[in-house]
Amino acid sequence: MSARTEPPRPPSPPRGERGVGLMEVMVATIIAVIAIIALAYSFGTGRGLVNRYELARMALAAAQRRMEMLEAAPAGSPDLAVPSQHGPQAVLVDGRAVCQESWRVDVFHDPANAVNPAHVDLRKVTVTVTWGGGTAAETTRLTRLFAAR
Amino acid sequence: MSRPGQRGITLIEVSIVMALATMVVMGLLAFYLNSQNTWTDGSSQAMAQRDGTLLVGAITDSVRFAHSAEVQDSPDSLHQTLILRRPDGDEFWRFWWNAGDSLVHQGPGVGQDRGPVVASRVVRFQLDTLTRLVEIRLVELRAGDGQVVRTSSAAALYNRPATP
Repeated sequence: MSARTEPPRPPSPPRGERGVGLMEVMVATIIAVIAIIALAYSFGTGRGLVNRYELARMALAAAQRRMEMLEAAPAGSPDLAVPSQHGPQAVLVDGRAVCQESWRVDVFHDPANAVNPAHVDLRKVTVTVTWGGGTAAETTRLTRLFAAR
Repeated sequence: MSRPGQRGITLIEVSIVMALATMVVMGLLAFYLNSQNTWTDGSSQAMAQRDGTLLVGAITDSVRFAHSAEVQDSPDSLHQTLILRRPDGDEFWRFWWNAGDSLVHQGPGVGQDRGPVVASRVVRFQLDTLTRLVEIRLVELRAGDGQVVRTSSAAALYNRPATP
């Protein structure tokens, strides 16, 4: 029976020169891909927020416009009758409907004037602007007190 | 004569590795450029939106001090000048679109330019006046990426007595 001679093993490299294993490369690649996808997602989300706030700014400007129009309206205007509800109606910017506005006028009693509860001390006007549709609908509200005049 | 542990790498292996590395680098470069464009577009549009709000706010603040207002086409109906007056009829402030730089400027009168209100270029600046109201019908600003930002509002002349 002859003794089997195994081929000589290549000498193992010293510890400092072992190189990088396949598993290490794969794990590093997966981590890098996850980081890059998260970065891309954050860019996309940021861009979406910019577009979303463009509409929010337009809606706030529309609410301020309605409030100023009511401020400039004559005292007997039906738009300021107490109590009353107006709208909803489309807000047009450059001929394009961008949101819906409505406003409500209520009696507001001045707490310092409790002599005559039937007297209208002030008018509380609440302008509501809604944009978007369905589950994505968003709303902004402005409230201001007007003199009873 | 080389031993098994010291064979090195062949030209084919180097070529494959270089091709794969090139693909990865190209992918990362495309991603970087795309992300940079998205970021730049979003930033410039957000700045234009902010400038639109600032411009409307500046006009509103001045209109509230005025007793009366006048709107003139300058140089056409897409770009107008807003002139604000005191109760004695004297002009105290104006906003106008400057054709030289496409910016809305402000100042106390003709030839007294206090500079642009905001840094974004304005494509349309359209206004209207009612009895106690200045309507900012359309302010259209062009963002750095070419996209257009629109806004509109109104401001009441608080210095004018209300009609009964």
